[in-house]
Order: sequence, then C-alpha cells, then structure tokens
Amino acid sequence: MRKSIRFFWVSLMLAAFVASSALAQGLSISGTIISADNGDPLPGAEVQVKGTFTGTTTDAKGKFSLLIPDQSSATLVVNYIGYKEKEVDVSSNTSSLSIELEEQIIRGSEVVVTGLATSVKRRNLANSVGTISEEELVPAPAQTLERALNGKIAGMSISQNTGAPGGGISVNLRGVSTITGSTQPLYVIDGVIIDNSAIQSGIDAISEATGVGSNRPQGQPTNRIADINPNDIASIEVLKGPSAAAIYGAKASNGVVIISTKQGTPGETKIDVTQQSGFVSILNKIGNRQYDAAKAEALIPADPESGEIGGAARFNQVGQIDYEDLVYGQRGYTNETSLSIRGGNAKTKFYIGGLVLDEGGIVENTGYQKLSGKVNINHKLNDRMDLSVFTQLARTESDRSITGNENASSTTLGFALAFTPPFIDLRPDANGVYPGGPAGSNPLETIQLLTNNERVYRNIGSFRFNWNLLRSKTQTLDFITIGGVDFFSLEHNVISPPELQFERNKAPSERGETVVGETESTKSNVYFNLAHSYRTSNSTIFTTSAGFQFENANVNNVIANSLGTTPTQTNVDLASSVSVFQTRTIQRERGFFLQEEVDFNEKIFLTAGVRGDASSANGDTDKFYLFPKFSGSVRLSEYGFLSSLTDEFKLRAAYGETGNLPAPFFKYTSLDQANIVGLSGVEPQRRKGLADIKPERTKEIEFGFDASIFNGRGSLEASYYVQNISDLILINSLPASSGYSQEVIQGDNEMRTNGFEISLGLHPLKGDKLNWNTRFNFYKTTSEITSLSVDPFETGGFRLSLGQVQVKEGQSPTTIVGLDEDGNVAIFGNETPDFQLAMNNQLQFGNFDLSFLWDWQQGGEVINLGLFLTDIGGNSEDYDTPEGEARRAGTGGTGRFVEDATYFKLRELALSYTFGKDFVDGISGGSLSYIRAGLAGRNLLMFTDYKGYDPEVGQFGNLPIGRSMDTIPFPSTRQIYFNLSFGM
Amino acid sequence: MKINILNKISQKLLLAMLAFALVFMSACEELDFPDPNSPILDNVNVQQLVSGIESGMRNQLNVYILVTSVIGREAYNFDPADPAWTDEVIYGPLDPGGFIVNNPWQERYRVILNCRDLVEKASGDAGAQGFAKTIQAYQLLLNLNLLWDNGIKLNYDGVLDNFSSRDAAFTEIARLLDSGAGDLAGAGSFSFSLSGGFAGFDTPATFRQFNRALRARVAVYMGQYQIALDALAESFLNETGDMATGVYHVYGTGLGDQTNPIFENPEASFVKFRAHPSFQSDAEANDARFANKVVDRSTDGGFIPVFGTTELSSAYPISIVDGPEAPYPIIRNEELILLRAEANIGLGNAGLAEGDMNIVRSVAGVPDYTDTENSNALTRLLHEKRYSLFGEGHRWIDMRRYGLLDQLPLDRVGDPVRPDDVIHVQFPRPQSEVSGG
Repeated sequence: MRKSIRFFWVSLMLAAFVASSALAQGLSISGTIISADNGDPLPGAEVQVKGTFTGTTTDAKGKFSLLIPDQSSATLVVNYIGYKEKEVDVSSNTSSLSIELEEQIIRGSEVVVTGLATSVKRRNLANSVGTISEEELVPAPAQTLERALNGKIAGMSISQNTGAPGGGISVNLRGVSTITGSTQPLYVIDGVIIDNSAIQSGIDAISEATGVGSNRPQGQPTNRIADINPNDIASIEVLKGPSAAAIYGAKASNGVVIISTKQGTPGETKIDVTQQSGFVSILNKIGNRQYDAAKAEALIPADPESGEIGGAARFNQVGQIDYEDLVYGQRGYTNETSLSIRGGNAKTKFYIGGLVLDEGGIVENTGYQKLSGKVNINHKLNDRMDLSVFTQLARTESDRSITGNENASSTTLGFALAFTPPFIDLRPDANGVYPGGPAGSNPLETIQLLTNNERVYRNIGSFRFNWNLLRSKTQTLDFITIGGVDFFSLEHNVISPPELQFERNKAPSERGETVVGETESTKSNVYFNLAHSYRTSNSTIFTTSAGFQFENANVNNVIANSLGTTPTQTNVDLASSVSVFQTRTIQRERGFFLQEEVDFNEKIFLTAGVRGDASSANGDTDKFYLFPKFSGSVRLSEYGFLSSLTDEFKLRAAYGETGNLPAPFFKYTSLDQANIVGLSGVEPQRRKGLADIKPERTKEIEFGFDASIFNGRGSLEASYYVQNISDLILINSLPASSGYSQEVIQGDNEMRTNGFEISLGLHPLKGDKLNWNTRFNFYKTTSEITSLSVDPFETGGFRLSLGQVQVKEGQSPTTIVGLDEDGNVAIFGNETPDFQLAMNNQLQFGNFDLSFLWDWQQGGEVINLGLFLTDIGGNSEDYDTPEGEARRAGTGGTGRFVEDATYFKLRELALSYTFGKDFVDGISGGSLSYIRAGLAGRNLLMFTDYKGYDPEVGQFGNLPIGRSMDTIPFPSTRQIYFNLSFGM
Repeated sequence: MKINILNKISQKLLLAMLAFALVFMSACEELDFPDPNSPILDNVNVQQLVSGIESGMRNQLNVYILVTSVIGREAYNFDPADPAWTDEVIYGPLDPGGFIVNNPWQERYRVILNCRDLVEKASGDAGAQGFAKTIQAYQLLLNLNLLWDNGIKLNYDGVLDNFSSRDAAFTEIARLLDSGAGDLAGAGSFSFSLSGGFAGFDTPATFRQFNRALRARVAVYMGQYQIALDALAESFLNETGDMATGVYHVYGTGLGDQTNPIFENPEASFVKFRAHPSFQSDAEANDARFANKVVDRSTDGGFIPVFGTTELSSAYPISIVDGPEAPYPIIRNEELILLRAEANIGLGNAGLAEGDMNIVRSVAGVPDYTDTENSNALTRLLHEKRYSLFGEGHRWIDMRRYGLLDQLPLDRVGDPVRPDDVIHVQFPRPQSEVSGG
C-alpha cells in the first residue's frame, strides 16, 4: 500500500508540470468597492469576471484593477462577506468604477472551507456548517476558547466539567456517537490538526478518587485547545456531522472545528489595544443547613468523658460559620490585555497578536494565566505563489486547588464542607495554626497549603504554500501544501505538604505527598493537495481535488509520585519513597482523499468524495478504511420557487461516513510490570485487547433548507440528521477464570442518533441610529442503542445505587438507572437534554453597542451526589425541609439524587460606547483612530432548580455516556469586566 | 505566447519541495509497532514470568485472608470505608458481583494464566514446569477453599458456567502437584531466581519439599491420610526445627513492588483488623501464640473497642504482620507438624498425633497434652491449628471440613432490626462466571 501511495504522489507531482498559460492584451478595468450603507471602502472584496476564473481582490482602500484579455466587454461579479453579491457590466468605455454593495443578513457569499483543498460559497453548501465570526466570538473575555462557543451554533453543545480555572469543558456535536471512544471534535487551526488531549494532573493521587469504586481518572483535566488565544481567531467553522466532515475521515465522527486565525491587511499598519479588568465571583452557592443549638447538640452531644463540650456549647460560641463564603467567596481580580497589529503591502501581510490574561479565582491561591504571542505572515512570492506562515507561542498556567470526588479523608474542598458542621470553628488561631476538623481535613488550611498547578508551554507553527500552476479563462490548477507542528511541554505540580490535617493523620512514612508530572507532546501533519477547476462554456464548474496526509503524534508522560515528603520541601526525591510512571502514546496516520464538486451555474451543487485512512491504532495498519460522501444542493430560488416569500431558498441533502479511531492501546494484549523485592516480573493485563480492531463508523444523512426571508432581513436554516453508528467498541466483562476480566469487543453493536437544528437570524431594526440583529439557535438530539451483542450493562458513576447509565438495546445510551426503594433496577432520567435554545443579540444605538446571549437548556438529568454527601454530613441546605427529610429517609431510591438539569443562563453581555471622532481626534491629536469603553460579563445570571453549583458538571471528564455526575466540583464563576480599547 | 510557468524562483522551489517530499517519505515511520508501554509474551523471559507469578500471588491476597478470618470468626475487619466487612461477610448474603467474591477469584486465575504461559514458554525447562504447576495448583486450592461445594473452573477458555465439582477440582490440584513434583525431581537446577520468600526452597530439590508440603495439605483436605503422611515425609517437616521455617510471600517498597496490606500499626488510634473476642477468651494461660499475635488494648482508655453502630467489639488488634515489608506465610513447619497429627488422627493413631501436637505446644509454652484419645483428638487438633495458624486463613476451612461451622460463635442474634449473624459455608459463584449474571 505504501508503494502505491508513492506512485500516486509522483504522478501528482508530474501533473504539476503539465500546465500552461496565455497572456494577451484586452480590457483594463479599475475601480473602488464601497459599502452602500456608509460609503466606506471595502478592502479584500472579491472581483471576478463572470464565467471565468479571472479575478482579483481589492486593496486596503477598496481599490482594484483588472486586466481582462481578449475581451471588449465583460460582467464583473463582486462579493464581500456580509454584503449582497453584485454584478456590473463593463466595457472598454468604462473608465473608473465605483461599485456599492448592500449589506445582507443571510451569509450567502462568504466562503466556507469544507474540503481539504477547496472551499465553497455558503449559499452552495449542502450541509449546515456553523460559522462564528470574529465579532461574535469574544464579546466578553473567555478564559478558554470553548467557553466562547456556548450557544453560538445549533447542534453544538458545550458543557463544563468543573468551574475550576482552566476548565475541563466538553464540546459535543450532534449527540452521542460512541460508548468508549473519544468524544471531542477534531480541531483544525489554519489547516493543521492540533492536539486537544486532556492530561491528568495527578491530583487523583491525593484525593484517591480513583482507588476504591472507580477505575476512571477524575481529575477533570483541561483540554489543550484551551491554550489558544480566542482573540487571534478570525472565524470558526464547524462541520457538525459526518456528512460534512467525511473528508476528515477516521477521526471526524465527533465533527470538525475549523479555526482560521487573523491575517494582516494591506495598507497602513493598524494597532488595536484592548484592556479589560474585572473580577470573578461565585455564580451560585449551594447553601448550608441552618443550625441552632438544639440541632447542633443532636449532631454532637456533649460527652464529659472525652471532654467534648457538645454542639450546643460550640454553636453558642461561634454561631453558624459560612464556610462556603470563606472557601469560595473570594473575588478574583482579572486583567486581560490584548494587542493586535495588522499591516502589510501588496506582497506581504502580517498579523501580530498578543495576550496577557491573569484571572484570579474565587478560591484563594487559584487562578488562570495565559500569555500568548502570535505572528501570521502571508507573502506573495510571485503572481502564482503564496506562502503563509502561522506561529503561536503560549504559556498557560492554572492553579486549581483540590475539588470533586475523593476517597481519602475529605481532602477536597467540597467534601470538607459537606462534612464540617458549620458550628465547628476551623479558622486559624492567633498563631496562624489551623485546627483539625471533624471531616478529616480543614478546607481553610488546604486552600493555603495545597498546590495543584499546571504549566504549559506551547508552540504551534504551520505553513501553507499555494502554487497556482495554471490559470486560464476555463481552468485553474493549484498545488497546496500545508504542514504544521504542534508542540507542548506540560508540567504538573501537585504538592500536599505533611502539615495538612489529612497528611498528619497518615503513617509517618506516607505523610506528605508530591506528584510531579512532565508531559511532552508533538503532533505533526503534512498535506499535499492538488485542486483543479474547469469551467465549461455554460458556466458549469468542475472542481477536482486530491491529496495525501501524513500525521504523527507522540506524547510522553512521566509522573513521579513521592510519599513521606520532607517538610517545606517540594522536590520529589526529598521523600521517603517515590514511585515513577511513564506512558507513551504514539499514533501515526496516513490518509488520502479524492473529491469532485460540480457547480451548475451556482444553481445546483453536487459533491462526491472519498477519504481513505490508515492508522497505527487499527489492528490492520496497512488497511485504508474508506469514508465516502455525497451531497447536493439546489437553489430553488434561482428557479423562481417561492419568489414572493424568499429571495434565496436552497434545499440540501448530504450523506457521509466518518470514523472514530480506537484508543491506541485497545489492540494490544500486553503484560504489566509486577516486581517482587528487586526481581523484575510481568503478569497479564486484566484487559484482553482486540488484535483486529478497526475504527467505529458513523454514517450520516442530513437534509434541510436555507432561506432568506423578510426581504433579506431574516434567514432560516433548518436541518434534520440521522446517524447510524456501527462497529461500536465496547469493553466486555469476561469470565475471570480465563485470566482476563475484561476484553475489548467490536461485534454487532450499533447505535442511532438523530436530531434537528434550526437557526433563525433576524434583523428587525435597521437604521443609522438603531440596529438590531438577533439569532436563535435551536437544537435537539436523541440516541438509541439499536443492536447490542452483549447483555445490557451499567457503566459510569460509582455504583448502581448511586446512579449509573445503562446500555441496553432499544434504549438511549444516556439513560440514567439506579435502584428504586425496593432495590430493583429502575430508570430515573436521561443525561441528554430535551432541547437547547440560544438567543444571541447585537444592538447598536448611536455610539452604543450592546450584545447579549441567552442560553436555555431544557431537561436532561444530572446525578447530584453532592446531595448524598451533604445529607450524610448533615449540611444539605434543605436538610430539615420535608423534601430533605424524605430524601434522607431514602424516598425515591436512587431517584432522590437525580435532578433536572434545566437552566437558563445569561452567558455573555457586552455594552460599549464608541467615542465620537471629534473627541478622539481632540484628545489624541489624530493619532488614535477610535476609543471604545464598555462593560462586559460572562455567566452573569443562571436560573435553575438544580441544587448543586451548576447543572453543567462532569466528574469523570469528557465521557460519551455517564458524564453527568456531580460530586461537588469547583463552583462555576461569574465574570465582570470594564474594558477600554483603542486603535492607532 | 510563451509557455513558461517555471520561472527561476519556481524552479528552485519545485526542486526544494521535491527534495523535501522525498526526505519526508523516507522518514515516514511504520504504522505497525509494538505496544510502546508494555511488553508482550514474546519478548519477556522465563525469569520475568516466574517473578511476575510470585508477585501476582500477592494480589488481593489480603481480601482472602480477611474474609476467611472474619467468616471463621477469628477476626473482624472494622473498615469505615466499606461496611461489607461487618454486614455482608457476617450476616450475608455474599454479593456474587461484589469485590470480596470477585477480586481474589480473578487474581488467582490471573496468576494461573501467567503459569500457563510459563508452561508453554519454558517447554523444555523441567524446573520451570515444576514451579508453574506447583503454583497453579496452589492458586486453584485458594479459590476452591472459598467456593468449596460450588466448585471452580478447571478450563480456562472463558466459557460461562461449566464449573467442575469439588472432587474433580481436588483431583486436578493433586494431579498438578504430583506432575510438578515429577518435573522437579528430574530438574538439575533452576534457570531462574526466586525471591527471598523461597529462601531455602530455591533449588528444584528443596522447592519439591514445598510442593510436597502443599500436597500433604491437599491430601488431608481430601481425606487421603496415608498419602499425606508420604508427602510429609518428602516435605520440609522438621520436628526440632523453627516453627516459622517455610515459604512466604515477601514485600518491598521498591519500584513496582507491593507492601503488605495486612500491616497496620496495632498501637494506632484506630485499627481495622482485630481478633474476635473468643480468640482471647478461649486462649490457654501463657499461650505464646496468643500473646505474640494480638496486642491487648482492653485497658487502653484511648482505644475504642466498639465499631460504630455494629455492636461488634474487640480490643485486640492483630499483630501477625509487624511492618509494611513483613512477609506473610504460604506454608510453614508448624502447619506440617499439625498436618501430620491430623493425618494420624484420620488413621486412628491418636497417640502419634498427641506427640506432634505436643511439639507445637511446648514451643508455645503450654503444657503437654496427655490422654489423647480418638474421641478428643480432633477437638484438640483444631484448637492447636486455631492458635498456631491464627490469621493465616485456616480456621474456617478446617471447621468446615469437619462439619463444625455451627460451633463458631455468632455475635448478634435476635435483634429485631438487624438480620441474625450467620456463618457462610462457602462463596457463591462469581457473577461474571455464570450465565444471566
């Protein structure tokens, strides 16, 4: 197979030589493109001679000039993002043109990158592709990119696992598509796939969360997409399902997020600076049972023998201490400074982006920092060659303390609060000594002494080389090479010093624990693509593209865990014992694709393509698994359909297949190290691998329509999709007498996911003084297991009585089950929400701009084990209410912990004022182009009946099923900023 | 008209790119590579398998020891993190899906898989064969001790149900031991090293003594008393030797090693593993076996004997393991002497049995038995085994073999709320092994 690839490659290179071009004298046209609304020039607008590939783009002043050979007259087609396309006839008499474009709400002419080497105008798309523009992305600062995506795309569901600095955020596109596989979309930045792995910090070693009862990591790590600076992003396109993402093949079942970063603009160098300062505070408190002397005494009776003075006496001394406020009540101060410099000339453009973000936490000694620098350069080597280079250097750091589940002695803040009666005083005495608490830890002490730090240095570099081998009236041939390297080095430092209460209680040889983790990750990919377009005399365009891709990923993770650390020392060797772990992840992939697009005069658009992928994660590494796609769209409005109602109406249908690669270690049946007093030994692993494992396969059909309504002042996109997922990989339990207790299987296991998405855009108010844009995104998805080769099983969570999800034929894989009051297995809900609806608004009135985003999730259930814990600890807020009493009595079985996750959140709000030009000139002497000041907020309001901190929660991180598990995470935060920005 | 898309820059670039592409292609690494994190059977040696077997024998052994001790009412395990030890194990029912039933079962078969792999890998190595078969038999015996009449699996193909009876299991265990002994007799020397737990038993000849010791225990369990005496004659039984001489699990703090999970500081404010109060009340005066195996904290005001709301109480933390790296016995001289006594009782030779029991008793500092008759011999033997082998997982199994489980004490009977305590006869079949489980 490798030989045949080389052959194909060589033939492609040869094809590059077969190209010619002709030049002769003809029509010479120059002109300016301006906005009809305000007369501003439109730089970068596209001007093309109708029916040919001849064209150019406008410069910084909106000017263009064009030489049209062998013609005395022509029609120019002018396009600019956000404006209606316009056609202008020109002839040799035309001297200088001024073309006015009108704004348009429906995003028709913008180009969407859907292929690996080609792009399509939005109005021709056969899929619903979500797009987020620069303006929509970060109206309010976002710690990490995913937080800025909430509610902006129908079909995309964002849910944080924890409110801890740096997050741990799950991004899901179009519902559940796997049981054991990866759940996160593929991120492609400037054409290069980047690493989005989530690496455990080792905090589990302190909390012992992954000891008894659970074998899955619970550190809720940050996904590495977090290192990106959202301010560098020019646009995001989201290929939501396989029908759109098939060209990305075996890794695209969870969709693809295509990110384009900002580019330079020719002309005068523009500098933009934005300073945002504000604070972070807790969004929602869960509260505490209100004690009085009698209740306190009932909890802790006085006992003269042991010297216990009793709860009543203690309560009378200190009253009810608000520990939630002492632990989570801090206002974290936040500063974000961002800088952008754009400039260039006709040949070379550059963009420089800088960011300094320092966000404090609601818990003392926690926070998040990001430093990022980005340089993008585009250079025209000559008429036919473009080279773009993109680089980002970033350093991010988070301090996140210790929260969530634990199995030690209330090591985490949430557990400590749950088990500390509020009339027990844990505050330090005059000498700064923290008393020990009845929970086994003193959270106030833990905050001060425990370190859980993550530091990342990241370098993402890529290039894109475009070589136009041929450009004639009827043909173009481009050779495109894209390559990149994404490198990061990550250090985790978890320090639990021996002075901590829960360390003091351990044996001397284990008192004090330090975990140091070092991870190095390198991911590289290279693409070689050819794209050929041919235009027939009747304006049918055939675009053929083909290419290869090579991708290598290498992650090396070394963890040293020491016990019995020397007081005041943090080095792992200054301890009584050290254990060391190393894990390497190597993944190598080879792929090719071939795609044909046919554009019938911009009325009918058909695509067929196939992607082939071989991966080291598959059992048969030589085999190229094929992923086909077919799609078509027809712009019925071009045929006069519904012309009285809509000026643009497109029907579309698409089919595509993608894969989800098995975890790279699933194919191996290996041996574990098992030493005995200095002798090196091995023993079989408990899980038997599957030697002939292959990717899970998702087949999707999507259809829908796009319409422009209300005379261009509204747009409506509606899509329905159905996905059939086959070859699901499961972990099956095996009779242990075989020597293995589990095996990886991939039998006849299938699942179906369907849903629909509606996106309605409106422009109800339009004028010089008042302008209002609004967009509604509605999304609903459901899944069902359609075939299961093994007995139904429960997975996720801790144990059946505390709620798990059940995988059973004919049932949703996110079905929550537990035990009813009689101890029988019963269904208590479903993790998947009934629907999600977001409303995003932009208003302008005079010099004021206001934007806000409401996000509504209806339904879905979360297993709130926080209630289970605080009930045991006697600290649930509703402890003494009838509801609390019923719950403590066990009424409802597991269902008493299963809560409705409905919420209504004000995700973003930004209000800004742009100072008048006279004022700006007056104070800056003309050196500033604008000054803007405003207020911005994120997560400002949350309305929910959920009793925990936030119904967005996931103790076990980004699991496909069984994620909605609340064991008291780091609380969610509200951010408020004042900002000032100016341009030069 | 001029056909020249290749100007000078282009030509240089094209060459550079072709060169780059060629270099890239040749640098392309293979997609097929072995597990970067773990070895497979093909690339490990006999030594590593042997040490892995030794190491794996310790996995979940603590659950075996704790559960046999608690069911046999030698001990309690007061574990605040897991109430199973004070409810499921004491009044039942035992959960066929729970960790107590599944974890030791699973780990013994994991060691057996390792032994089977070793037998296959070291096909021409008689010493390795003898080692593997002996350990395999021992691992089967431990699971049979737990499941008893429910039988165990003797085929390792992962098929559900298909349990073999207790008799068939004993036959197979005896066969493996005898076959292993034959291999060991024909082996010159071991091609591998054993851990310090086999000190003195680390050559084929001495390891065979260990094999015969196990065979004697199995023979006694099977009621084959003469075979037991024959096996003991070839074992390391030594009337004048140290009672502790024998084969042990050893522990360490080195890389990839395990510490002894039974160890707890008996002087700590809270201790989980404690002797059943009857171990104190039934002890003879001055019995060193009592004094050396528990710490008496009945007069320690800082020590709370009662565990939570269970009403169970003990002031005697067990101190048989005196540190995290202390060894834990597999079989030792003291048991062999008592096995000989037991075999002789089985053969009606109460006088010979008395002699052996008195060897053990004199070491323990208690007076000799006299007048041992066939009528009282067994009661005396079970008392000696109880005190000599306390905390080593024998009491429950011995009492069961003679149908005497009803003589074990029940602590909580007649409470209107709590179920009455019971003595479990045996473990249920693990859920993962039976259809519909």
